[in-house]
Amino acid sequence: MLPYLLRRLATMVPVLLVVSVVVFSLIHLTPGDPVAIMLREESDPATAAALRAALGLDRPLPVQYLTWLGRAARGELGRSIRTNQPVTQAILERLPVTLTLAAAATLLALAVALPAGIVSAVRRNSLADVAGTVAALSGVSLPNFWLAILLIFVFSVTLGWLPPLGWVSPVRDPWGGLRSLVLPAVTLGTAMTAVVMRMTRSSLLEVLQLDFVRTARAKGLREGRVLLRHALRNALIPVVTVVGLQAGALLGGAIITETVFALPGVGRLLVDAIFQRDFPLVQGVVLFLALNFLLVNLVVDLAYAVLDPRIRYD
Amino acid sequence: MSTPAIARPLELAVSRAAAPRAPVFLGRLLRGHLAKVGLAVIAALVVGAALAPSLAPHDPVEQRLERMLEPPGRAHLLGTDDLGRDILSRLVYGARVSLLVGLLSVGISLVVGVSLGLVAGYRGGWIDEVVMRAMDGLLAFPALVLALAITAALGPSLRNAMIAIGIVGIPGFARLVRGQVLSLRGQEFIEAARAGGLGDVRIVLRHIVPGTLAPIIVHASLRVAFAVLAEAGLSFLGLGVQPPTPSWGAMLSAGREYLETAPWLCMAPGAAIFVTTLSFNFVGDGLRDALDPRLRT
Repeated sequence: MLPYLLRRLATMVPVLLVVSVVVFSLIHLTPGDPVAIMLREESDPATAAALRAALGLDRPLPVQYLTWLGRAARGELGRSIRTNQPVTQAILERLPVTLTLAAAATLLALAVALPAGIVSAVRRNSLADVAGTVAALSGVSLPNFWLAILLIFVFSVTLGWLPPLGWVSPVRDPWGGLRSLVLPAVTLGTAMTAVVMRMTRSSLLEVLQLDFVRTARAKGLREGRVLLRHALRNALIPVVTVVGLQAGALLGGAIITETVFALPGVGRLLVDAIFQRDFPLVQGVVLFLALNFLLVNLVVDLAYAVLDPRIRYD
Repeated sequence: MSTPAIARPLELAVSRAAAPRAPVFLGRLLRGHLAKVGLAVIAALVVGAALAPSLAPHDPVEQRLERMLEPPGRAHLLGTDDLGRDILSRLVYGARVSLLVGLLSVGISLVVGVSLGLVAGYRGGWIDEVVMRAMDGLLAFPALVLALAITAALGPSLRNAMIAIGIVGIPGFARLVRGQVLSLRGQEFIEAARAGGLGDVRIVLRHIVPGTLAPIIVHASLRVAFAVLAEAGLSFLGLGVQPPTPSWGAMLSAGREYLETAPWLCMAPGAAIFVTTLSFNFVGDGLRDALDPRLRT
C-alpha cells in the first residue's frame, strides 16, 4: 500500500502545480488593475501603492508566483484585505460548519440511496423502479437553491417546525443544532442521493448477472444472503467512486446551501469574499476547496483496497 | 488508389457502430417516453424563447410600483414582483437567457474540449501529457467553485458566466474524446488510411471524429442541463446575469425576500429551472440509450 500511496502522491504533483497556477492567475484575470478593483473608488494613490506592495503585485510575474507558491506550501495564504485576518485562520474558523453540513448530507444521502437503489435493481422495471428512476432524475435536476426555498416555505413559514435560517452548534446545543441542520442537510444531500441511487442500481444489476452470483444461488443460498453478502459487496465499489466524485458537487452545493440558510461556513466565506472583492481570501478558499477535493479522491482510491481484496496496489 | 476502397467499409462499420443513422437513432430516441417528454418541453421552450416578444403579455422590465406583489390573477397570470413587473413576461424572456447560456457555454466546452482531446489522443507523447495534466488540474476544482472563481475574477455578467461555465466543461469533453481517439487510433482502417497517404488532419476529421460523435452528443446534452443549472446558480448568487435582464436564478433570489408574503415569486422561476434541467436530462438519458445501448441500465 505504501509504494502505491507514494506513487499516487507523486502523480498529484503536476495536478497541484496546475491548480496553483489557476488560483494564482485569478487575481491577474481581472480586467484592468486588480488593486483598483479591490479598492473600488475609495482608493488614493498612496493606499493603492501600499496594497500593491503588500500583495507583491509590483514585482515581476514569475517572482510573484514563486513567492506565493512558497508561502502557500507553508500554509500561509495571506491576509484578508478587508479584515486583515489571516486567510488560513478565517477558513479554519468556518470549517466545522461546512464539515458538519457535508457529513450530515452524506449520511442522509447514503441512508436513502442505498436501500432505494437495491430495491430498484431487485425489482427491475417494476413501478417502484420507474418511480425511483424519475425521482433520481428529478433529484439531479432540482436546483438546490429552489429546493431550499421550498423546504423553508413548507417547514418553516407554513408549518413552523424548523428554523428557516441560522446556525446553532450541535456541540453546544444538540437539539437546536439538529433542528438547524435538517433543512440544509436535505437540500445538500438530495442530488447526491439521486446519483448514488442510480449508481447502486446499475452496479447491482450488472453484478447480479455474473457467474459467482449464479453459483451462490445454485449452492442453495437464500436470495437475501446472495444479495447482501455476495452481490452488494462487489456492487459497492463503483458506488464508492461516485460518492467520492460527489464530494466536489457537495462542496459546490455547500456554497449555495450556506448562502441560502445563512450558515457561517467556508462556502459563504467565499461568496462574501467575492462580493467584497477580497482576492487573497478568494484565492485562499478556492485553493483550500480544490486541495480538499483532491484529498477526498485519494482517500476514495485507497478505500478500494478495503472493499475489494482483489485490488492490490503493488 | 486502393486505400479508400479498403478504408471505407471499415470506416463505415465503425461509424455505424458508434452512431446509428439519423432515422434509426431518432426512432430509438422517440421510443423512450421520458425522452419524448423532454424533447417536447425543450421544443416548447425554444419556440417560447424565440417568440418571446409576441408571447410575453407585458414588457419584462417595465416597473409599475402601484401593482407590486400582486398575486396571480387575470391581469397577471403569475402575479407581479416587488417592482410591479409581470412575472410571466420575465419568465418567458428568462428562457432566452437560460437557453443561450446553456447552448453557448456547452459550445465553448465542446469546441475547445474536443479539439484538445483529439490532439492529445492522436498525437500522444508530451503533447498528450501536457494537455491531460492541465485537464486533471481543472478537474481538481469542484465545478461550481471553479465557475465562481472565474466569474469573480472576470466580473459578474452574462458573457462571463457563459465563459466560466464553458471553461468548467472543457476537461470532460477532452477526456471523453481522448479516450475514444486512443481506442480508434490503433485500428486497421486508420493504418490503412495512413498507408494510403492521407494527412493527419484528414484522418482525424474523416475517420476519427465520426467515431467519437455518439458519446460527444450524449455528453453535450447532459452538459446543457448542468449549464442551465449553473447559470441559474450564479445568477441566484448575484454573479451571473445582472438586473434588469430577466434571469430565472436572479428572479428566484429576489423572490426569497418575500417568501412569507408573496411565495408565488419563487414558484414559477424555480419550476422553470427544474423542468428545463429535467428535460435535458431526460433527452440525454434517451440519447445514451439510443446511441449506445451498451450503457443502458
